[in-house]
Amino acid sequence: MIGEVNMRAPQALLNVSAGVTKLNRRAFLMSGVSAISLSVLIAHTGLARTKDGWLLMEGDI
Amino acid sequence: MIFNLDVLTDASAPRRYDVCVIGGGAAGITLAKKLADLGKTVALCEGGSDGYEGDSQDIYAGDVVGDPYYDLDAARLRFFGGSTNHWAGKCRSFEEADFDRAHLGPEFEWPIGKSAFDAYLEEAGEVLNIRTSFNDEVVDEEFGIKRFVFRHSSVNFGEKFRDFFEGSDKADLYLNANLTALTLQEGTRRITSAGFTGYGDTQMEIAADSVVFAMGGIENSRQLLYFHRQLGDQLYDAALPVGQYWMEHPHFNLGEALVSRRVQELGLISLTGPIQKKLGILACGFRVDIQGGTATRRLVKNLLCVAPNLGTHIANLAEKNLVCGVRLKAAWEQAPAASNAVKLHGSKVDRFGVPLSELHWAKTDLDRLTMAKSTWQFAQYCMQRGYGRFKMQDWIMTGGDYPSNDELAGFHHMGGTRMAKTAALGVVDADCKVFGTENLYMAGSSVFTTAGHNNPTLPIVQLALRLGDHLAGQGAQ
Repeated sequence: MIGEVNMRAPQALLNVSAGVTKLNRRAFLMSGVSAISLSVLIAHTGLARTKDGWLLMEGDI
Repeated sequence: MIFNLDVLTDASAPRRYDVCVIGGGAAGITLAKKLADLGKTVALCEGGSDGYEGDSQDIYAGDVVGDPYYDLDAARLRFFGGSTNHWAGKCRSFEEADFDRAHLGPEFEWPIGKSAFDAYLEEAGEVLNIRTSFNDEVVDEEFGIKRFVFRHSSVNFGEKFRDFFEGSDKADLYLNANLTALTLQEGTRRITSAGFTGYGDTQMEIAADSVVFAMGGIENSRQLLYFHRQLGDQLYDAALPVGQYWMEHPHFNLGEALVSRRVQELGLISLTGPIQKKLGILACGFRVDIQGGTATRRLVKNLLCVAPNLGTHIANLAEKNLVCGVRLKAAWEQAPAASNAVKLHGSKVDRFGVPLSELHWAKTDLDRLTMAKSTWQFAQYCMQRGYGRFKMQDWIMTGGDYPSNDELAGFHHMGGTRMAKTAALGVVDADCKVFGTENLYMAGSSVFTTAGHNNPTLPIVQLALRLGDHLAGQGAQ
């Protein structure tokens, strides 16, 4: 799961006009990650979405 | 004068006018008054009465195929004043960006520009009793964040203009006058007269130089499709995309946020034209609704669980009333798609034998992308400028289904008889005349080429005034 997010920065994801639904689902599916995992994700992408919907950025944790 | 067709005693002989306007809502009333003011004789024929009647409203029934939508007989009102008998009064016109869409394809191109609307802004403001300065403000050039405002009208068109028709010697209002016949001059596409029927089956005929459909964003298409069939497919060229490219404004709750006063004070937010173009999206308007202390505390507590450091910082700001919880709502532009269309129902008809509407409506990929990218841009702005954090609903970023228990849409019925540069992409030309016909015009939001993200009533009025000038030979802008 972490690897999928690492490969696609969210900004790039939203530049995809076709198939945005599928890509977003893969990138933002973060249910169950711990705070430590979340930190790792943020470090790689600059932004993450928690399982209850918060959009967070590096330094928030 | 005002006549009630149901009790009209002398309806046998055709009545003669310069223009016959069919439909007494915002467009029809504005147009009829404008024409009368310019010296033209006008018959304004309203299918309903001057108050709500079930017999009239039932004619607006129909089926929806596709995305969840309102019952069609509950999504509009069929009596004098039309849907302005129950509207929010939000007024705002098209923006420069709405006319800079060629990069998205020819179906996004209007045959007229913003200046054609601007020429009638002041006059439309008088009709709607609103100020016409909007004082938009670009608050962040880099992120393309713009603050915008609506003007609020309290005008109920039926109430405001009833006295005008009562006292006018140029404009006659006919209530309970349902369009049931159109007559073409033989061998031409020139309408010579229109026939109307009341609820007690009284009939009358009106002869006019020009006929204008102003029946609403669904009804204009339905009636045009029906009479084309009734007239042996002779009313217009069969290739015209009548009923197609129908549009709404999707309305959904996006989630909540903890934001600074700066964002709270913006209230209404959209993206600038250059950013829309850069992102390849349409227009989207956000509304920031401030919530109370209970909601703020709930959000802060929730944030503390996932981001303790940030949560502690925001909790301190919230205690000083520098940050509070808000609910985020969005209303955005839908792409014109030929598959979204008003069609004639295959089996159900109204009391006059006209097939009911069958509305095919679904949000497109570009609609979804517009909402997602716009939300993302707004969230980025708040995060990177230190103005707050968003807590979005799952379906927005995960690509889930749109919720079916949300606002859904704005009761804004647009397109179907759209304006275009050529008959291949539209039904009416830049003067709102149906391509190929000699004297049949459309008024109202059914002529919109694209929808923008703003409520449609102000541009409906602007275009009606413009059509009035054209029909009166005044040289429309």
